[in-house]
Amino acid sequence: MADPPAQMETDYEEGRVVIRLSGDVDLVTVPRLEPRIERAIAGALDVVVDLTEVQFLDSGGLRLLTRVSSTAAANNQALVVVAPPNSIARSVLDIAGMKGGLVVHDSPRITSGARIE
Amino acid sequence: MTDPEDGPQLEAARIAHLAAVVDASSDAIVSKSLTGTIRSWNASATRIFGYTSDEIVGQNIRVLIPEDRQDEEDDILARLRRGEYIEHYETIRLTKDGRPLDVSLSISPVRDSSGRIIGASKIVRDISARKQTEDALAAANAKFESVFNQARIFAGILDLDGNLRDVNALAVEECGYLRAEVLDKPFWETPWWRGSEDVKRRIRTAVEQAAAGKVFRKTMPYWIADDSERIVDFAMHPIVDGAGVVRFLHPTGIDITDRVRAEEALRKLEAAEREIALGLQRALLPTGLVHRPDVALAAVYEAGSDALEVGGDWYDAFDLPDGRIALTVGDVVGHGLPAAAAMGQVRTALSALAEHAAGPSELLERLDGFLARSGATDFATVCYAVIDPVTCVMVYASAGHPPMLVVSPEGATTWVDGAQSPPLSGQCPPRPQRSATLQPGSLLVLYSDGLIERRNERLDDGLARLAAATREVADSPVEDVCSALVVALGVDKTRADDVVVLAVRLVSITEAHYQHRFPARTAELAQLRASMRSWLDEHAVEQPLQQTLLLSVHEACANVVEHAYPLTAPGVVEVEMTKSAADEFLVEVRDFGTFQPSESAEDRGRGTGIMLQLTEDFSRESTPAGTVVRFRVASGEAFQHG
Repeated sequence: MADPPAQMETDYEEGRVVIRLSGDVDLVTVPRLEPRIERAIAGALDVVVDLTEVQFLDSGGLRLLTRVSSTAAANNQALVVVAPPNSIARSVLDIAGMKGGLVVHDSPRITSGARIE
Repeated sequence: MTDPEDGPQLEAARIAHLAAVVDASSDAIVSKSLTGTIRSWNASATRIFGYTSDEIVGQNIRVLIPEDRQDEEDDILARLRRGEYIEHYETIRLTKDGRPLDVSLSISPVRDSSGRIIGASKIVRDISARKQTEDALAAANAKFESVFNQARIFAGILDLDGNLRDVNALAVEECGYLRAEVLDKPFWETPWWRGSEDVKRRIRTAVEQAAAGKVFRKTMPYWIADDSERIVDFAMHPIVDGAGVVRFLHPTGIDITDRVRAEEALRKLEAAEREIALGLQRALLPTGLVHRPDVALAAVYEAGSDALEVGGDWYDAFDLPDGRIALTVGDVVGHGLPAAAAMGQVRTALSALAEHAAGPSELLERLDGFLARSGATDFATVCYAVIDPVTCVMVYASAGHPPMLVVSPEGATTWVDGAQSPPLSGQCPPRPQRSATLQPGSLLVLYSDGLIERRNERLDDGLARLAAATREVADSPVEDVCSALVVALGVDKTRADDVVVLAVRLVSITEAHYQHRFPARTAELAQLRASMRSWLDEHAVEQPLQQTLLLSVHEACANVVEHAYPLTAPGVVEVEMTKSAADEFLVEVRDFGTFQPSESAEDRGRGTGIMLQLTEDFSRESTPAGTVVRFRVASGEAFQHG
C-alpha cells in the first residue's frame, strides 16, 4: 500500500490564507512543499496551516513548520497551526514537544475577521 | 245628618254600585254570614273555583274547605266575631271539581249600620303558580345545598364577572380561610391562588372560558392559609339557564396532593432502586480484565431491559498462581437486585475457590458446596476454562452453560462443549472436565445465553448465527469482536436478558521477523514505510503501535540517508525488526558508512529527540565499519487516540 503523496490546497479570504496539507509531510516532500508555502503566505495578514489530513509527519516536517513560523513572525504575520486532538500531526507535535513554540488550534473553525491570538 | 232625599232609593243605588265594583274586580270576592253561609260570589270567584254564583250562593263556605282544614273556618269565624281583620292567610281550598288550590285569603268583618258584625268579606287570591315556583325553588335549593357542601369537593359560584358569590364549607374550612375574606372579590384574587402570578392568570382564563360557555379543566397548585402549596384538579363550569345562556360560573376542585406526592415518591424510589441495582452490579463486575501480553482480552456487558435493568450475568478473567489464566462467564437465574446480589456472591466464591482448585471439575464441585451451604441462589449456569498460554492447553467444564466458540487462526470455527454437567443448584452431580489444545492466535468467545436466544428460534439456529458473525470479525482486535457480535446478533434494547461477551485471543508467541534492505535515498523512505505497514497489518499490530514504529524507524533511516554516506556514494540501510511479544518490537537500523554531524545540532536533535520519546533502550553504536542504532518499542501511547 503506497503512502498518499503530499498535497497542498490554498484558500484566500480577506487577508487570511489557509493552507491545507495532506498526505506525507516529511523530508521527502518538504523540499517541494516549502517554496509553494512561502509563495502562498507572502503578503497575508493571517496564516493558517491545517494539518488535519496529514498522514505522516516527521522531524523534517516539524522543521518546515518552524521555518514557516519564523518567516511569518519576521513579517508580522500571525500563524496558526491546526492539528485536531486525535490526529497524527497532533501526536507528533506533542511527542516533539513543539506546542510551546507554535500556536496550535484544535479545529479549523476561526471567527472570520478576528485577528488570531 | 241624613238628607231626606237619601232614602231607600239612594241606598239601593249605592248597593248596586258597590255590587258592580265587586263584580268587576279581578280578585275573587266572597261574602258570607257569621254562620258561614255564602251571600255573594263574584265573577272572579267563579273563575277560580268553578262554581257559578247560582250554584254556590246559599251554601256554606265549608264546601270549599278541605276536610283536614275545617277547623280553620272555626278559627276564622272566632276571630271575625272579635272584629279582627285577617290578612294574607295562606291556605288550601277546593275547586268545584275537588282540586286543591293554594290560596291567600284576606278576610274583613262586615258591619251593619249599627256597627254590629253581620258577616265577612273575603278576598281570595290564587297563589298556586307562585307556590309551585316557591316549592321548586326550595327543592332545588335544598338539593344544591347538599351537593354544594358535599364532603370532598371544593365548590363555589361566581358571577359572570368572576366575582366569588358563594363558596362551600369545605373550600373555606379545610383551607383555613374565612368566608368573609374570600367572598365578593374576583376569584383570581382570592387567597387560594396567591402563590403564583401564573396561576392567577390561569384562573382568569378559566373565568373567560367558562363565561363563553366552555368548561375549563386543569391540574394546578393552590395555597392554603399556612402558606403550604397543594395540588388541585380544578374545573370551571358554565351554568346555563333553560335558553342556554350562561348565568353563573361554577368552580370545583378536588385535592389530589396526596396522590400526586405518592406518585412522585414512587417514581423517585424506583429510580433510586434502579441506580442502586445498577451501581451494585457495576461494583460487582470486574473493573478491568487482567492484562497480559500473551492473552488479549475484552468483554462487554449489556444489562437486560427489565424494570431494574440488572440481572444475574457475569464474566471474569484472572491470573492463577501457576501463570495460567482462568476465564469464566455465568448466569444466575432471575433479574433485579436479588439476582445481582446472588451473582456477586457466586462470582466472588468462584474466584476465591479457583486459586486452590486442582481444575475445573473441582472448582464446580466446590461451587456446588458453596451454593448448598449459602443458598445464594437456586440456579446458575457457569462456564469455566483455564488456559496455559505457553502450551496453549485449555482445561474446561460447563455447568449447563452454552458452549464456547473457538476460531482458529485460519478461520475455522469449533464448538467446545465436551464437559457438560447440570446447572449449579446446590445438588452435587458429577462434574466432568475436558482439555483441548488450541492453536496460537486462536480466538475464543465465551458468552451468556442472552446473546443467542431469540423467541421462536431453536438454540442451534442461534448458535449458527453466532458462529457466522464471529467468523466475520475473527481477525479484528478483541474489543471490536465484542462490540461487533453484540450488533450482529441483533441484541436490542427490548430484550429482558442480560448479554455478556468475553473475547479472548491467544497471542501468537512465535517470533516474527521483518527485514528490509534498501538504498540510502530519500525516495526510498516511502517504500520502507509501505513495506512495514503491510507486515504490521499481517501481524495484527494495533494502529498506535504501528504509527510509533513507522515514525521511529523512519527517523533512524532518515538520519542514515542524510548523514551516513557522502552524496557521491550512497550506501545501503538495513532495517531489522523482531516482534518479541504481543506488543513489543526490537529494532536495529544499520548502515555501513561514516556518521557525519549534520549542519545544525538542533536539527539533528529533533529527529533523535523524537526517537528517544517514542522508544526505550535507545543506543547508537558507531564503528569504522558503520553505525547500528538499536531500540525497543513497547507502547503506542504517543499515538493513542481518545
